[in-house]
Amino acid sequence: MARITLQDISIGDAISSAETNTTLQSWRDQSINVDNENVRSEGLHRRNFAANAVVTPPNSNQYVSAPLGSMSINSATPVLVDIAGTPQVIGPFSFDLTDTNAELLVFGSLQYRNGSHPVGVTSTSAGVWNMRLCYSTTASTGPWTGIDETLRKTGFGFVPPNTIYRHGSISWAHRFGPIATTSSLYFGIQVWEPRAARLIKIEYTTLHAIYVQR
Amino acid sequence: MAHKFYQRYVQEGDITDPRDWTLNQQDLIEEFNGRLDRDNIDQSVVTTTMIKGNAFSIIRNVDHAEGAADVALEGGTIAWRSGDGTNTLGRIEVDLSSAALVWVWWSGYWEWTGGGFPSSISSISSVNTVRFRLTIDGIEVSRIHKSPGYRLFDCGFCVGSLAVDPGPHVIEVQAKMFIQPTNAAVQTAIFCTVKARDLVMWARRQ
Repeated sequence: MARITLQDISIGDAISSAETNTTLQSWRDQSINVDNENVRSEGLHRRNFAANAVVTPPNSNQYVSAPLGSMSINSATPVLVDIAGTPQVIGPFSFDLTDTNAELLVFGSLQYRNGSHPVGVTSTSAGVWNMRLCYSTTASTGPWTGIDETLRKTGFGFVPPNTIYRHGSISWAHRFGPIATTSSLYFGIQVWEPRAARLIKIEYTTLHAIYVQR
Repeated sequence: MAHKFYQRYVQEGDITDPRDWTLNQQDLIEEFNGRLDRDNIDQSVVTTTMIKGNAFSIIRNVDHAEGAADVALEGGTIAWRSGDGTNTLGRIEVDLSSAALVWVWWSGYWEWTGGGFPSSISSISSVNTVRFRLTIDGIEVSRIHKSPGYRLFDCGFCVGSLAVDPGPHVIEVQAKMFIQPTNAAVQTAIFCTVKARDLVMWARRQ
């Protein structure tokens, strides 16, 4: 804490410049050391803070949603969700490994439908659709690394007498990190059906991330 | 410190009195040494690097990929539980030095094994279910209700919040199974195994 020291001058003291100069020197030395202890409790107002000093909301590249259109996926290996020609990818983000106080939270959701279970499939042959968040530290076009903790699966387990369809929704909230410092971090969503590449439709996707810096 | 005025205004011709100097200095020094506030600081000058870490937010998480940390919920236990005795569904302990609004999110997927599946969906009496709840200090703030066992693989997401006082707090995910009476003979062989899952907490300090 910066603390000014007052050099008292009392009646009867010999007139001297030393006292006044000592006090003024203290002002000069301490005025550049102001810290939190110089500010009274609850003394700050929001106007004192620079924009985005505490939380940085997503910019236009760091948020994507697809209110219209859908994507049909029938792949046994991960496919990046792309709705009506718009990859559901956000970024770039910067990630600084040395800033241990900053957090990057990623939120996503999607709806799936028409995941069909044909007549007669069993619990071991029925479709199991896999969905997860993924990231790239190279470009918005990948290559992509799956975030294993965000893997979500959906599938039936009985023998249907008729073809039935799987519908539902999936959402994620994920604290990302840590990885090496980068300024080209991107996120996307992957979907696949490893057993038999059965088709499913993906729609109404949203994906965004925010920095919580302090 | 909003507005300060001269305690003693010295004019030309006044007799020099050290008390004038001392009082004026003392008044300003007392404000500087701990009572500065918003009126002393310009707009938009406090930047991120000037703010102490966790001054406004504390974020914690616990997440698992599928594998060794899976939670195998056995059908023979019907009470709410937080894990299988080895692994937990999700638990965060945090000690807050100030009151806060706590947001929590949990998502995961699970797989049913061990039988007890209906041969057709018309037989609702054969449907086992699992439900999940998200708690803060034992208070339920969100729930995933009744995922049926005929969904061999299923997943869910829940979010909740609670205003809390300073002190220690526990965020915990719990699960409860219901095994249909028609499956009683095999219920200890029925498992709902929770695999990849993600618990995130954001305490926004007040």
